[in-house]
Amino acid sequence: MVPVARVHLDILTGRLKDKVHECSKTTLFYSYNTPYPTSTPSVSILHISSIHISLPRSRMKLLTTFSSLLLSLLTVRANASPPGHFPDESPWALCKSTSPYPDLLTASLDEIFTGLNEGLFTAVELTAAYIARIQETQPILRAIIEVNPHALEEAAAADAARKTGSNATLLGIPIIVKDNIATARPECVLSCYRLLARLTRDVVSHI
Amino acid sequence: MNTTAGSFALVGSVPQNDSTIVTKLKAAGAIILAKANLSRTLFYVRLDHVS
Repeated sequence: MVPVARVHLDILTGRLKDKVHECSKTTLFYSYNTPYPTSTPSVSILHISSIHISLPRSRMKLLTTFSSLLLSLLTVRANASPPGHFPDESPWALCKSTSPYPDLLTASLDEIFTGLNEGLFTAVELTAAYIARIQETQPILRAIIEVNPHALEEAAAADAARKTGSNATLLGIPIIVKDNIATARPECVLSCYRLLARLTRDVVSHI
Repeated sequence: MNTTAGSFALVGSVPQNDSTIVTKLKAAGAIILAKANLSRTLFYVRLDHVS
């Protein structure tokens, strides 16, 4: 499938983009075999079901007897790990690295905001990393209808504003909105209309 | 940007104004990265479909 809005990433090789590619094969594969855990307790439930299947039938009764104990133990262990982080045996943990950059799959707003404020990465690099991730998963997931063609320009503007001391609440944070939320035509030159015509043609050709 | 609610029939439909939430997000400095897909016109033909 041809991306609706083409963004040339060749000239935007950010450090975060490398990190996205570093764990892309693992995450893309497991995203179809493992539900993406939104909280740690759901991971523990997943593990309990796999234990049930893997044990011999003769031990099922014993397991049932102690299932409540097992459940409580697993829950306690799951609660011990910090929220937003996956247990070590989780397939998502394969993406864990010693890099100082936050993992984009589990990064919280605070982590990203801290990284931006401390100069660990820029909003342009962050946006480029997310666009790279979108393009990577788009052929299979098709989760995105349109990438903002001006996202990188807006990120550059956010970086400039940050240097001048602006401390807006979400300065430089990329956000995806659902397609039923109105987003106006950006203030732009004629090229925007050309892009729109091309976009319409591309989408129609894929019907 | 296009605002189609996931419908091909609305491709090319670009609102004249931002919605309130997008206006507030932009005012807070956020970058509208992309538009996420959804089931057509938010609601599939089945009542039990998760939109």
